[in-house]
Amino acid sequence: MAKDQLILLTDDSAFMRGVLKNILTEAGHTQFLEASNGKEALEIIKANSPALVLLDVIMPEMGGMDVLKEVGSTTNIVMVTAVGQDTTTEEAKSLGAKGYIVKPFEKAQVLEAVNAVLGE
Amino acid sequence: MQMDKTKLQHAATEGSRRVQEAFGKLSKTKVTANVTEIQSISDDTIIEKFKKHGEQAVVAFAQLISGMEGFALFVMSREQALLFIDLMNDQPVGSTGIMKDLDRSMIKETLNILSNAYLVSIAKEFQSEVMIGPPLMVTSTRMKSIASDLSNKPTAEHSVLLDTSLVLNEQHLDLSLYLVFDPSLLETLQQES
Repeated sequence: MAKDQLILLTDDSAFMRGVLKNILTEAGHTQFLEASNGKEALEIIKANSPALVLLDVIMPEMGGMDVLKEVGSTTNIVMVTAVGQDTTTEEAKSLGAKGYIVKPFEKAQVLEAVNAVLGE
Repeated sequence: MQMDKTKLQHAATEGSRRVQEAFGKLSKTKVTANVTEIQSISDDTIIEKFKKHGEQAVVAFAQLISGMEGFALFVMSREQALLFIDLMNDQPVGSTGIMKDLDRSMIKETLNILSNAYLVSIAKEFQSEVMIGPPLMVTSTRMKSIASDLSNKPTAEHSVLLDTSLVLNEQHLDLSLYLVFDPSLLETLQQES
């Protein structure tokens, strides 16, 4: 079932990972892993092949765009962007991102982006 | 050289709207946001304002990484920070005594939200785009060091101070956001506007 599929939450903000996780948990999703930077995310992606990665753009050590460049063609990735990052979202699409959500999140926007990938 | 006051005021109004919308999504209570004061300020003024915040101030810092050079500093008193944490978590006032890592994460994200809201609005007034880097908590000692670095630069008005009043669940919070821009970039912005 779509809601048992593994979702990787990648954001340097533990607070924002918590917000995302709460939204998705309330919607019935049960399987999560978390990463606080792009380097951690890549390790988890390679080891666990998550069905979906929610990926922040700006993070220390390695940002979301660098992760996208490495695995964007083989992994379902939805970018997590801030207001005003229109150029980034365009570039992300060209690198294979399946969509984007804007912080702070509208619950409906998050679920729409996730469902579009996981097929609910 | 000062940033155009009319454009700054437009940016402040638009920024407040974004802040209100953003915090409305994050908090469980009704939020209103107003910029009580927006001004271009000189190095001397910013140093004096930093000093007033005191040793116990909570400070978050983020570098601007694209579009504009400079950095954003978000300052609130420790008492206001603890109140803010309680309000955002929908807890009784006074619940938070010591900040945990998750609380610091929320404060840093608040810097992100505030800075983005106002920077995007300012950038739009000057037809530019801006991105802010990952935020860090800094100590008041580091903040004084930043102020000291600023004092070594030629005197110019290349900072913007936004004093913002947030009302969450009828509680007032006063937050200061300093946006410090490189003066040469400011000249470029003025020429292009």
